[in-house]
Amino acid sequence: MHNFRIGVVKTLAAAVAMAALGFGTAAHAQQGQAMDFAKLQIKTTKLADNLYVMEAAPGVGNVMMLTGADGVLLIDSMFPQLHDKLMAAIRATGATGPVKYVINTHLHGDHTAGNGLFAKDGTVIIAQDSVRRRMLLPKSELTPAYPPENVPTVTYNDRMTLHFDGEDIELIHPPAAHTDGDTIVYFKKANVMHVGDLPASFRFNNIGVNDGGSVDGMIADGKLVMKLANSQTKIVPGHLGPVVGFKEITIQDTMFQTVRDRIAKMIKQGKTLEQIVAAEPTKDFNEGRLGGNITPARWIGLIYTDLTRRMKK
Amino acid sequence: MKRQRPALLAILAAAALGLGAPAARAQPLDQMSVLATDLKPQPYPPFTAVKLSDDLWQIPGSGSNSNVMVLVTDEGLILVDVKYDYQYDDLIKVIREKVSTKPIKFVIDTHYHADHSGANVRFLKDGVQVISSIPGREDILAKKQPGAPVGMAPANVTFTGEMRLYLGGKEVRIRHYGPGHTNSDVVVYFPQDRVICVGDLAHIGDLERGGQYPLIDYIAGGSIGGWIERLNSILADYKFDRVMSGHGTLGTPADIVAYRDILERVRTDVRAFLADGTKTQADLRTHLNKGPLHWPDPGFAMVRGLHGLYADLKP
Repeated sequence: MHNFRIGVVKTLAAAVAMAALGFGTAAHAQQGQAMDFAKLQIKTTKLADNLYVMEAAPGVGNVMMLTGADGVLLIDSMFPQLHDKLMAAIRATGATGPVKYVINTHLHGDHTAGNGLFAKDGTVIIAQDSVRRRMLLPKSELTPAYPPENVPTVTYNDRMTLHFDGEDIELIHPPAAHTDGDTIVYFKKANVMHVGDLPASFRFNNIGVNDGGSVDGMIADGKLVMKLANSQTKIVPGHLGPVVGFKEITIQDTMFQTVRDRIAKMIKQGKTLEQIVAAEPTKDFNEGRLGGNITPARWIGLIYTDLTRRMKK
Repeated sequence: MKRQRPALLAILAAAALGLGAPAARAQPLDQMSVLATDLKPQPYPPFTAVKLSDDLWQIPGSGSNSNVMVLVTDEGLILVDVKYDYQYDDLIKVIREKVSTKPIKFVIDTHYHADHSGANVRFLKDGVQVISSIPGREDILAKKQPGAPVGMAPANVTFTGEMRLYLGGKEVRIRHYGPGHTNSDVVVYFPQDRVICVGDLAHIGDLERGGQYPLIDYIAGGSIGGWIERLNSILADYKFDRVMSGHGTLGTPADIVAYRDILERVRTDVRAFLADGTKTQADLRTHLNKGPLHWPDPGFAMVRGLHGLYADLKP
């Protein structure tokens, strides 16, 4: 908590909320200061002739790679501490040519911290407008500082398509969910979709409540993914992949709605965040979901923060 | 920059347009014959480079090819439009000799016509990112432009709405609003210089090329109503001091207003002419040529616009 001014926390309730949200720790994790990178190994899974997923750890955003005659395209960039391992994993597939593009699914450091080392070598970093805008905001208690070298240099506001390595790669900006700068990346010909941190794999998803995200947005975009994709689409989640389908998204969607409604009801009853956490509203969903970086208490805190902010409006 | 069109070609084109054919035959004119001759390589005066500001250079249109804008940054160059394929070497030469030796990073097509996007194919081979609207790519793939050069290549990066590029501390905004001159028109704005490139959504200081005879490419989704809306949006959405149209000379916001008014006059006149519901397409053709608008016949505006204008504005 040392990089966040404790003096601004005026009340115990606020302190509890902040702790539940994991500020400080979350910011550190995003910048990669809390992970032992030396111990991490990258696991590569082949999804199609020219498409791969690279996974390092639950707290590191899953990278997707497209290869071919034009070179390499990546979705998200892990951490600079993992750059050499990521490049080795890329080359181990036989992929040749320069890394021409990195597409960021959203701004968080576990997906963008590695951008700078690619940009230095001439890679074009692409994201939705909000990613750039938020990364350039001054650091505050609620937002970590993002190094300028990691900021995307090509942005779009609605949809964008790249034609590369014989693929048609659609970048789709959905309504705000995990953040207000999310991108879904769809490889049309291969029928593979990277959904970033929208609801997909079994876990308690981070919700970027200070980056324009919301629990209702997460619920809506989970459904949207199932409209954009089809039952045969291989869906790559931002964490804990490598691949999920409609079954997992539907189950996550049910959890989001159930837990949201439970927490909303308790807020209306006047319960504090401490009391709500103690009531364990996620208890029947905990099994199989504790492998991610977000604990049930922190997840409840995120939903609580989002719902109480909106009730005040 | 008056284009010389040999008399023989004009006669052939007139024949292909079916002058003297029965007036009742209301269908698209044969565009192929007129435009195919125009799109063949033609001699052109040497390219020059005109400095607009510390970081912006214009490579003026030279004959029928388009104006090109070059943004210079420490990290490389961004080009708006690239003329014809066969002019690539001369375009590169004038940029290298007069403007900058930095690498070209991005090319932006203002629309799909070959006089603006023809050299895409060469820049793509160089590894340059070529950007257009989605229709800008689709129209090239669908060969919507009659007589367009064989082997034209579309952009490899497309978008809806807006894209922004940040290179060497400079920002470039690229916007696709919707149908106008074609369905693929984008405007490119340089906020630091307050300069905007509008492609063929306006013609400034070059009336022979089409200033008073707007080429409404209905065959590729153009629309006179959309075009007027596009110019109103440009005037409302951007703060700019200078504007570069796809052909002709540099201008100011007043030139956008003036061009919008030309389009308004065309729409008003054609609507009034068609208002009683008895006029055929052939009647409109005669009216456009002999009436107050004086559209050349044969001419580009007539070839690409007549059929669509008639269908669009008849009551």
